[in-house]
Amino acid sequence: MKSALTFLASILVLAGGWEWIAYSGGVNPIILPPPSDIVEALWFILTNFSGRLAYWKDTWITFYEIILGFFLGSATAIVIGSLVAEFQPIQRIVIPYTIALNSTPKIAIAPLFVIWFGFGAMPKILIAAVICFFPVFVNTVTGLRSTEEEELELMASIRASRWQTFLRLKLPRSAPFVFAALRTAMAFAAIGAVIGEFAGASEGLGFQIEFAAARLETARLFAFLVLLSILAYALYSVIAYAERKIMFWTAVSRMQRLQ
Amino acid sequence: MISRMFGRKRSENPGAAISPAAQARQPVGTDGRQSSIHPAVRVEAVTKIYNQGTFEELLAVDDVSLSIAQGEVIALLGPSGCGKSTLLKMIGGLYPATSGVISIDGVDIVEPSELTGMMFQKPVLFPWLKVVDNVLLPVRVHGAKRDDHLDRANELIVLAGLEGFADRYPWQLSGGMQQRVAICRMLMGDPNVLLLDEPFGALDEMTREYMDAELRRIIVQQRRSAILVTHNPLEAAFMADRVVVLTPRPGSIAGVVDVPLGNDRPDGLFASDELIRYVREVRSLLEGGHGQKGRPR
Repeated sequence: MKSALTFLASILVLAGGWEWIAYSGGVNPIILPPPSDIVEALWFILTNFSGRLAYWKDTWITFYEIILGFFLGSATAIVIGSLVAEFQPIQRIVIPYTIALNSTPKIAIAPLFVIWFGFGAMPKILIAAVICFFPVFVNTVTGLRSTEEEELELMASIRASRWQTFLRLKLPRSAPFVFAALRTAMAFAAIGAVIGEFAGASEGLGFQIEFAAARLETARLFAFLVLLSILAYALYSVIAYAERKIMFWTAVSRMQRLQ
Repeated sequence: MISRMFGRKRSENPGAAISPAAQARQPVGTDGRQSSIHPAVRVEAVTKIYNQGTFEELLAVDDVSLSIAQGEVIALLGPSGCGKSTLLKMIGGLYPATSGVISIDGVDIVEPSELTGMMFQKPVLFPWLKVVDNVLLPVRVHGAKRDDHLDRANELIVLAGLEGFADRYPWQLSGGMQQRVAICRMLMGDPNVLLLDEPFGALDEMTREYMDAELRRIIVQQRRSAILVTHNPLEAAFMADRVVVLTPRPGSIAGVVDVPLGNDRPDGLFASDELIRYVREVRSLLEGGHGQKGRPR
């Protein structure tokens, strides 16, 4: 509670200073619009529900591009990561491709995806998925291999099958690694969706940011940035919350429960 | 004889869990347990060579033969690196022997068997499972329904002195209590032979002695055979009917000390002169082993 108040106070001081600089002259509002203008633009965005100015639709579109990209990329990464961790031959085949994929700057793939999949949501979802893939993949493999020798011996001694060992030991053991990656992946998915919209779109928050920039409506651009940040933070919080609930046994979760 | 009957009944009908309480109600004779004709465990001329055929070849266990009677507790005692853990894990079917034969109740061991249950130096409990679900793990991995075995799991939890802790998580328990959970889990699969790999090695001295007495009580009450691996002569003499002393690597049998102190061994026995006499005997065998290898003192 106290930290929230401190945070709020710091925001007010920061915004006040910014407002003062913006109004004291010398700075063009196209370069640095005062916070009051940004709040006004944000208010306008949030209170128009119909017609051409219904920006809720853009928010919704970017939201589901992020979500679908995140789930597609993460789920694929967990499945392929599991196969790689469990089967040596698959590892030898898959690893060079994943390294190649990770070495390619994903932004550079965006125009190609637009050519392949058009201007709809699909290329955005795919770019988000591609960016999400790598951190989740790496952590899934690492996590599944983080079991201790004695744990594997225990499972062997009770004659657990390979599948049972995977399900009851390796998968839960990998969860902290996977969740750490999922948090990163959620932020990456937002980046992917916006990049996809930059590469070619007619709606979405990324498109609106680009549109506002082209018309030098800097206050509105900031307002969309704020909206995008809030969206990304909300999604991140959902993952963080799920992490605490699902992995109740880790030291961090236990500490948070004590507080 | 009684335990042999139970053993046969188990193998005929592996699905049926035998209530430990029913077994516990049987009076425990001091001589009856060891009168079985066939040994529970036979180890014949077993040798283990690691990395065979490479430059890192290592002879870990050298021509060891043992036989353990039904209901008998033996200790494998030796300096670290003498291959005692390796021998135990071969009996558990975790590693194959390079040569020699291991059999339990007449069945050759080539892979982990339902006839054995293991306990490790660490409790190896899964922190995401409640105590009772950790205990249930050995039956759950074979597709058994939780509810079908819940009663037996709870009986074992009471037997191990964990009453009221079934719904706690392992990390809410002390180290000694965690090992009690491991005891329950080991017994859950209803094994005839308990393989104990320094089970209390990570506990402090006082707790360890107390837990030794508890485990000894449970083994006797449940009429199981047990093999305890330890490097502590006092623990070995307290726990075992026979202490098998191994030489430094490669492990072979340096000698055997009988400890005929009966089945009733309260933890007060740790301080008794009687026990110390056997400990001294065990120690002299251990040191003789060092001497033979010409190791500097």
